[in-house]
Amino acid sequence: MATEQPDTFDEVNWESVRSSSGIVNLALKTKLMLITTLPLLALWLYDRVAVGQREKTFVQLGKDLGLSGPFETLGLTWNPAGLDYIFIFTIFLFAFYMILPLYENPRMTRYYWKEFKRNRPAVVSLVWLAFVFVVGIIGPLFIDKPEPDILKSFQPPVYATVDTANIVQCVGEASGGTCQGTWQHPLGTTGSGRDVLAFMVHGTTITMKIAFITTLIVALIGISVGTISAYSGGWVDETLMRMTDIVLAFPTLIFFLMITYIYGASLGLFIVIFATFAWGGAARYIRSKALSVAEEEFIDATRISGASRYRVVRRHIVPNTASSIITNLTLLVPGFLLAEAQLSFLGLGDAGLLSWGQLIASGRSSLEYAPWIILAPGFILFFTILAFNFLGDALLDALNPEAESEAEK
Amino acid sequence: MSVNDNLLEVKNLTTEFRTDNGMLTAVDAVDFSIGEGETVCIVGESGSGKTVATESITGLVKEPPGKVSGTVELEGKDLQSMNKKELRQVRGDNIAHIFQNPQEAMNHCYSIGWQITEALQVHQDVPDDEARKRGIDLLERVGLANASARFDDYPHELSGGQKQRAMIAMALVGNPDLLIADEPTTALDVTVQAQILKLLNELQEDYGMSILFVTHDLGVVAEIADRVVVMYAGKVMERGDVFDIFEEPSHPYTQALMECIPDKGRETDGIPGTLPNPYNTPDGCRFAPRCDHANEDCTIGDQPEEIEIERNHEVSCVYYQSGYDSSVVRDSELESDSSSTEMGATDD
Amino acid sequence: MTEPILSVRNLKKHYPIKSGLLNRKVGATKAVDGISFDVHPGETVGLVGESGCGKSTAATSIIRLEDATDGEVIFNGGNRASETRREDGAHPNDVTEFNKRELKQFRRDAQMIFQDPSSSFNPRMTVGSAVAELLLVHGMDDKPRRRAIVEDLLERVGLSAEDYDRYPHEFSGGQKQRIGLARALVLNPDFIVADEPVSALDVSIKAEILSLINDLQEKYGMSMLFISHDMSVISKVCDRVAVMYLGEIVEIGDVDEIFENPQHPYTEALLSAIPTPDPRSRNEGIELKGTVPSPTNPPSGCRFHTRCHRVIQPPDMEFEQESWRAILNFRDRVAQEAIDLESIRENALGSQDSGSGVTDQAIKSQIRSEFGIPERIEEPTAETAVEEALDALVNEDTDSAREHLMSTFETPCETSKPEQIEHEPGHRSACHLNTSKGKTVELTPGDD
Repeated sequence: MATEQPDTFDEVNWESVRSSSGIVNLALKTKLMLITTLPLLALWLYDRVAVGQREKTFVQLGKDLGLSGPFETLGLTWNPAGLDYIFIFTIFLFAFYMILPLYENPRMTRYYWKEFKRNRPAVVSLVWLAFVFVVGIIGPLFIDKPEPDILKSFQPPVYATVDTANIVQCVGEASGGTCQGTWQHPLGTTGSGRDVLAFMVHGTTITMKIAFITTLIVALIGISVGTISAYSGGWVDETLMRMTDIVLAFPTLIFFLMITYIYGASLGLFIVIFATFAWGGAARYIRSKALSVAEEEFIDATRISGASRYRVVRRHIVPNTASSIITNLTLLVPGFLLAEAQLSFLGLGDAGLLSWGQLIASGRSSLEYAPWIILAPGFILFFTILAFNFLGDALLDALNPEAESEAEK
Repeated sequence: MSVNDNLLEVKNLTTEFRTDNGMLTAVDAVDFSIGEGETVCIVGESGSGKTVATESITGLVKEPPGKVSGTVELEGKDLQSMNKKELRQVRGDNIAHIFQNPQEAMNHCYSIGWQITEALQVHQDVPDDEARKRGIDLLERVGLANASARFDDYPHELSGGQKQRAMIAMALVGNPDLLIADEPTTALDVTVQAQILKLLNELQEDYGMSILFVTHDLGVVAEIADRVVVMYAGKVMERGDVFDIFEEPSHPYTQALMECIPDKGRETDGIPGTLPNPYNTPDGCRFAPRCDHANEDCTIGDQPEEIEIERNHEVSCVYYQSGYDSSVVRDSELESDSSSTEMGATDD
Repeated sequence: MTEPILSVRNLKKHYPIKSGLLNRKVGATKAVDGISFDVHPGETVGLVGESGCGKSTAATSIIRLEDATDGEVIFNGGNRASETRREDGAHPNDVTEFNKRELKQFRRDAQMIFQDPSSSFNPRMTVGSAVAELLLVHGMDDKPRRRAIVEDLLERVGLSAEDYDRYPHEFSGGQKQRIGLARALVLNPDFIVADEPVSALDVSIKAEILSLINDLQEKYGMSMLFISHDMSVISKVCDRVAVMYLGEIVEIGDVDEIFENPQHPYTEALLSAIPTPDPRSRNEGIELKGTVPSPTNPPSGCRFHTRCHRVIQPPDMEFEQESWRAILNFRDRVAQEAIDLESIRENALGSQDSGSGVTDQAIKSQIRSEFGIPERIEEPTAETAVEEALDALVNEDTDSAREHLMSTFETPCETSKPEQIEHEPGHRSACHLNTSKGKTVELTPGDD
């Protein structure tokens, strides 16, 4: 380390130490976040201002940039909607504030992993969720949206059969009154002739959107309210906590049904309403955790170092409370997924949405002869929810370094 | 104090734990015994296995991951071969345990009186009002001022010393033959520590029970012990009568511990180095890597056999084996002995 | 005399007790109630006392983790030397009046070592970055330089440079306390407050850390305020010691002086509580009974008189010291109306062994024996008063019992506050027993 200044603590000339503030000092994750979020924001503004309602964003962008040709060859015709922007934003957040720190602190990561892998079901769950995540992100790029085709309705999955009486036309071999499934539709088709597999792949994206965006909203509001409440105390605490009580007591479902009745159902509405009324528990949890963390000696140690209040909260209280809320969130997500599926099943969702819930709903009336429409997404939904629960449990154990050091004593 | 037949005989006690990093041997083939009405202190640094040894006696070690072998005989009955029910009976009636942290050992949802009477009624069939009376008596006996009013207090309403007193009252409920006290004064102020030690001495006289006292502090040992077992890294280094140990500490480790007692005018740097890795204990004497006198013979084979250097005073150190000059170790002991009398003088 | 690096003058920290719907202040817990002492450059001053005597609160108020209620803490470290008072009497170096900028500057010159090594580090931060954070907070942006300084410092406190990237849970208690030392040292402060830094450690490790603290202090010449409940620890590191009881300093002086010639009974009791490594001198010490009374409503006069083994007898009476103490305890208990006749009656029944009720006489002697009051007190006036009080008690007339006792028994210790008496230069104590032994001293506010 070649610095002209001496590198021992007792020879630092503090008069000459000057803080050079600015963008250079930002942490890598903050820099990356800025680099990725700013273009995203620009694109969103462009979409809002310059692109017409019926135009596809990227087609228009290609035209405006004079790059229609290359865009077309690349197949860039994507038309992101408001929810997609938020989804991409949360993915960035997830990558830079969860995955990157794990990479940057290999020691802690190894330790977490060592603790985590003791729990076998959780490891399987993690693999499963990673698979769902990957399919949800890149699946739609390779598999087109399933279009309805009434001629192909109720095609059975491969190796399965269906009575020809129930279908219009058999894509595979039909013999003796039964229609054979084909590899063209490995998991069969729905009553409207949509391919179940493609439906499920696109449904995975919806699931991921629900999981990520709700988590973002709940975490953001929950951590802010909880931490501010704990650290401010007094009337701020009182006000925020009474607000939390209201949120906890709020009949979200009825509210959602009312709004749906007026404006019609949409995924965005579902996510926003359910997430903005679900942070109560998280906020309370964060508050009590933050209060107990604030009692720890290392908080005093940081205060005595001369650190600002913001730094104490941001670098010491939040990390120590936020990791425990991860468990809380992983246990909250299954609730949202189930709620979406249940509302869809009852016909209260957006019927045009390609979600697992809608797929299950579409198999409702033909369960007798086309059970695959419900079974395939049903199993996937079941395992995903189970995986979230297992994961939450294991994270609770793994993310607690104190517990281990105590056990070692 | 007359020492009759041994109340507790521990032979070849070994406690291992299965962990992610392999087998950890916390206690390695340890023997000791406690006579009736006697106080035996197990002394050693944290990590020397002293707490695990006491927990192994009463079956408090969780199995698995733990694994306890050897024999533990209480009044001639083997505790290891007992089933869970019998063991519970013994834990309540014959052996009581008090811990370092009274906060953690108490249930904060119930008043101390409730906890005492519960302990009483689990083992004996006594009506409620009788149990209450006896509970108050016990609290008075352990010196809790204003016991009848304190009876309905909750643990958080008591100070650390008062909680430890209440814990002792709970331990006395079954009129135990043996009280195992695991660092009961470490978390307390020196003044309160002195109170608790005095109380234990008095109670022992009144109830005639035996005490197995675990501590890292030789100063405390001097206040309470009849006999001392010095443990290091799961092995016994030295054992003997409390006077022998303090007047003639013979194992270099005991001598080093003596040096650590903070006292005026003495410069000590503690014991350099740390305990050996419990997964891979060194060959020969476990203390050899930190011992000033260690030679090549100290690092081969097993821990040296315990040698009786005088009646009931045994040392596990190669220098006391035949063919060695034990004065090498004894000489440094003389030095520390003289300084200890010196400081006894300054103290008065 | 050189200018002290730290002068504490009449420091008070009271916590308001609020109650009722409107949060009205109904009283105050006087955790620290007017303490004054100096710390000179390069010196270690011990602050000793039992839990609940306010020593930790004093530390946090001095270092300004909490705001003091009243008093001055004048810190002349860093480059603040030779400042004089302003015209309005305020001192420019008064820590309690520092603004945000001055406070941050103060943090660089005064640091703290904490008691509990297991909770004094952020479990999610490497210990290296925890130590380096102080450099960062004070504006050192050069990351490699921060790392170099901290790695060097870790080696100086007996760890290795590789430990920079390890997490707190990977260290033992003693090692963590070494890191705590590194954290306190990294800004090269002039003054360190150590709040019971070794009380959570094993004896062998305690000795190691204490000698490390001594070495570092010798090498870097900082001053220290060392807080402990254990006199034996104080003797190892301190030059001077202040003994605190219930928010006040009862005795202060050189360590050698205090150990050899303790003037306050409380100091005596603390000294005798040190376990002696000699099995032949058991149970010889003075036993300090009970715990520190509540600082919300401290005893009048000398605050230690409720537990003092040398509490002064009334001028016209003469007792065995033990029975006098017993009578006072009895009197205080009656005054608190904390005598439970019911349980005493039952106890008397137990010792009597006859099934036929308990005589008043038996109850009275039971009370006497429970409080350790002799069956017959030699002093006739005292005997009459006690007997009358006992009679009243048996008749469940607590008020008149209290009256009898309060009017007859009164110790000078509770009526007036003892003055600070100077025994030797720098050795002061506050005890009525010593009034005749030296001259009273009045501390001038902030003698520079």
